[in-house]
Amino acid sequence: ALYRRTLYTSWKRSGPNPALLLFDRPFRETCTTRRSRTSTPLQALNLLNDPVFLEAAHGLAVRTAAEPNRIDRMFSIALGRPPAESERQSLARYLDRQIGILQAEGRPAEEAWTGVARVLLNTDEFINRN
Amino acid sequence: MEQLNTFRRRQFLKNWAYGLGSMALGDLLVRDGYAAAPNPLAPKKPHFPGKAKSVIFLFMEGGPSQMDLYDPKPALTKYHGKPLPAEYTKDLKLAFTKPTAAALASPRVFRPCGQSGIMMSDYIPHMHEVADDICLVRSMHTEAVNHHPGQLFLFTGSIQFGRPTMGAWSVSGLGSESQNLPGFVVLSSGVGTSGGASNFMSGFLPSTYQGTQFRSGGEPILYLSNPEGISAATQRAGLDAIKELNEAHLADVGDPEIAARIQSYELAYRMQTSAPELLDFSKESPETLAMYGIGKEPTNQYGTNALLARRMVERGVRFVLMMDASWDTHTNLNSALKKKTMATDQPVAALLKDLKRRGLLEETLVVWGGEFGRTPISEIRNTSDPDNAGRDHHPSGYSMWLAGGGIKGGQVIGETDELGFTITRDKVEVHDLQATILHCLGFDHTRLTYRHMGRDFRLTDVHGNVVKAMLA
Repeated sequence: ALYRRTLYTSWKRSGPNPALLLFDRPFRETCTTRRSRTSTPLQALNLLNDPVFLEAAHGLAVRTAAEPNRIDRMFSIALGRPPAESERQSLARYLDRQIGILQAEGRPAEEAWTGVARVLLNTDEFINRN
Repeated sequence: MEQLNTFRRRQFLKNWAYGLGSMALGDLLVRDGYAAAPNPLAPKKPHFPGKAKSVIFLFMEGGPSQMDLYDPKPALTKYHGKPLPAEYTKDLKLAFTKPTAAALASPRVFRPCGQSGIMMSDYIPHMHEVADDICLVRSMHTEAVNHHPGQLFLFTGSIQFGRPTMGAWSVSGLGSESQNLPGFVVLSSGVGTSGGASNFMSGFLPSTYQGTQFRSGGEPILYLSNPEGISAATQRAGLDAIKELNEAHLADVGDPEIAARIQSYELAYRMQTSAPELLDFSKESPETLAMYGIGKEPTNQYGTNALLARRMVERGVRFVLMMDASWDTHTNLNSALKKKTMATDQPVAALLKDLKRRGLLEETLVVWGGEFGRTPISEIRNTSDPDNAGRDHHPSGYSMWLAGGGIKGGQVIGETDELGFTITRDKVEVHDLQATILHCLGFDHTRLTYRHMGRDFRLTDVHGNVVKAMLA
């Protein structure tokens, strides 16, 4: 079930898919003309720590590995627009900090790019259509 | 170039939406539920000062047998093994049993307990010691004869799926006193509940108010631990970067939902550290652990949940729902009920005693009961086994009890007829129970409403009266 799109998961009325439940899926009892939009700590835990999202972040890092402007490319894949200069700088500062953390932990610096992707995939702008 | 066009269009729409009309629109968005207020879980004042600050609901899923625990029916002995007079059974509609089934007397021995002399059975000896703290209701009445509708009715006030639950209403009305834990937590024990997540859903209320279910084994909160390869330092660095980007975005577009998102990420991070502290019993005294029956069978699982519940209300959690399954004793009543009471009687009584000695019982409302009770007549699924007899679902006269915040203990409300079929005095409907619980929290149940699909909804639908006799 980990790699299955929620579109294809089985629908159990009293035992809903946890991720769908966390993200306000409609109940299907009545027509839903607009989906409610909330933000809870459980959504944050899900997006930050569920291995499937970590792997998605890793996938985005791998996909952009050969890009000359990697931050910009990741940003526009995730958010559909180029970063503002301040956003580019935020991510560059994060990248430096994360490389330092990984070096101290004896892990490969390349993982910092998975970190950049993970940050992007957890921004409010990525989660919601703004 | 294509990206640039998209960018311009988006920026234009944003500026239109949030720049020009931001004040009026922001207000409309909040009221329509499109955008959350900055912290939806901030503590809020109820309609009037309530005696209870938090609720622990001890839900005994499946329907505990009242005439084997809290409502003695010695007259059943007269009819034991024989069909009952038609005057008792003419209006009966049961899930599995025919009204002509034989009566089933209870082999339990009852005795008066405490100063109040409430009659309780020998299956719940620990409860005998706290008789003077509970308000026993022997005249509960529900609309549903089966589990899932019965549970929906108990927790949402409607047998129709999709309404918000009692816990969600409580947290939406009062917010949470805890900055590090969810306002509404669900603990489970035993095997299988028919209602499942629908007993703690938020329905059409914002999902911020839905119950957070701790799991009974393994990781108690899903995704609470960092995934493999993510250290604490990496997690914090990532969260700082997410916050920085979200804050810039918030400054740009002014959508209050982004502020809520920033807060929920920070609460998630705090939960990663506060939840393990909550779950760590090493600072509890051996006497306390023994009192709850922790570390020994068969009380360990329920005792652990009961102590967790106390620790949560101490830390400001508003509503704890403990779901224990299953009390659905269609067969082998005596042995099945013994098993359930052996696992829960001691921890439940310990919870009341422990709350009381810490001064927490005054501000914590504890509710015990199932979605309905069980029949005075027997259900026999295997005729070759003489010990096989059990009891069917019985919605029209069963027992529940309340204790603590706002409740007058040491008393019995209501009465059933001599065989336990019908209510003869002070019927308490499920909506009345709900109205009374909300009253203890400081709410007029007719005014705790939420507009949805063009009308105001409430937990008690268009029914319910506060049962004044229950109140302290």
